Amino acid sequence: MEREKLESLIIDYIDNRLNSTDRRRVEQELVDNAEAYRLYEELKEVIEIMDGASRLEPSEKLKYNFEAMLGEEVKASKKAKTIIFQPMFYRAAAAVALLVLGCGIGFWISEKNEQQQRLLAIENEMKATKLMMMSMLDNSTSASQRMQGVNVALNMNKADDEIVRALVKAMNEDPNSNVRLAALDALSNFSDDAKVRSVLIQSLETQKDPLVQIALIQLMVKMKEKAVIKDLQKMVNDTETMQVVKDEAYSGIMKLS
Amino acid sequence: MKKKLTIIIVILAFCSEFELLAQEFKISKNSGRLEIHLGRVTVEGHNGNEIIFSSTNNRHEKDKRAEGLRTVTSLGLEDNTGLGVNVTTKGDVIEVLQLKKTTSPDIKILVPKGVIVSYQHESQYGSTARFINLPNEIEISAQYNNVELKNVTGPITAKTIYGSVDAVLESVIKDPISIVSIYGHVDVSLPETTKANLKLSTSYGEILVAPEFKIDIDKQGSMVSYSDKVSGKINGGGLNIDLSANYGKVYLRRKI
Repeated sequence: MEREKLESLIIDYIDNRLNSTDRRRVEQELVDNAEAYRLYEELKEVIEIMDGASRLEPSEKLKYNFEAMLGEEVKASKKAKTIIFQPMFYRAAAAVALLVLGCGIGFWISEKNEQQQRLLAIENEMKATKLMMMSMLDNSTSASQRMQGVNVALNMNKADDEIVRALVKAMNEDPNSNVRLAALDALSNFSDDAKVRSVLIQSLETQKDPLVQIALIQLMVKMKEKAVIKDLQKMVNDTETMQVVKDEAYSGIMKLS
Repeated sequence: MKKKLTIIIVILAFCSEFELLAQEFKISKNSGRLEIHLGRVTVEGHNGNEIIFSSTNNRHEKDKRAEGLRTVTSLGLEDNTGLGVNVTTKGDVIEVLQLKKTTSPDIKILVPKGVIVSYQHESQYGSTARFINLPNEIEISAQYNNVELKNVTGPITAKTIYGSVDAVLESVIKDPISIVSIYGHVDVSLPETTKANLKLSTSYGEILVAPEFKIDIDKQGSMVSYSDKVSGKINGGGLNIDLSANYGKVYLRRKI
């Protein structure tokens, strides 16, 4: 048996805290192993001394001195307390200060909570609006629902990628021209964003809806986007382009170059 | 006396024949979409649960040579209504197509409240599409047609390229209202108390607004831009109303 384990077992044996099986094991070990027996003897001696020591009483004199000292100390500390809080004014001031501090901390905590709650509420609201917008945009039977979905984005100051993607999809693929036009309108609010800008430029190439084509050309002119002149030229030369769109493209080329 | 009687008899006979001519075709439906692909049409709202098609063609020119024959089209459509139009139901959508390419029959359609009315027509052989007394959602996508909307509530999304749009809106409006024309005018009458966010735009035309509407123009920064695009609120704002005519004029009137 390992020494440490044996030691702890023997200590427990001496203190009489072992169950019968462990007890038997220890006794067997003590019989078999001379080393273990020596350890047992040593430990027993130490434990007996420790037990004996606890029975020591302090002398009478020591006790008296200590009590006198304690009394003095108590008196001194009592005196100190009364000195600090004697005048009513200080007490009141302390109470007020405590109150103010408490209120302050309370307000601060509640303010912080409120702020956090407000932030959370705004975040939740944003999420809800976004969800609402997306589900409206997905409504295939009602164009006006999709339109309302797009209109939700009109009131946003900033759009994340998901919203931009949804709007681009509406602008390029929606079967209803009015919805496409509204999506373009919403996107043009974010045209300062480089990503949105490039998406708008791309759409000029693929867009087949004359209404949106015209609005896109006008937006490009407003944005002074000279990179689209080539696309405009292509539109002018394309036989499938409607005359109105061609006219707008011509005027776009004139204004941009 | 005898003469009078014969006149009456003749009139009665004429009337009865006239009634025979006024055929009807009904589909029981009060939800879903009605997609109309006709050169001209009058769509009216009614309180029933059926979509009712009828012919308003009074001239009724009979082609004697056509007797016993049926019209065949490249789309394989059949006149299943007896009105010169084909009506097919595909799930929640009812499609109405005309058989003849160039001459569209005069058709009147009565529509229950819950049906979305969608009108699409691209060919140049058409005339006016009329929508009257409809509290329904209306979608119009036309190229050459003129569009008339009378006593409608919206939501409306309408576009026509060469045609114009005249609309008189009811006092209870459901948004969005979006009406766009490229070459034609857009003329809309609104109740004076309508609370709306207006967007009026034109590229080469003009925007004309009744003085009763005080438009609170949206400012961008500290500048007010007076241009071919006006966006602003009337009566504090609310409903989204977009009107646009690129080459034509935009008229916004007070509904009397």
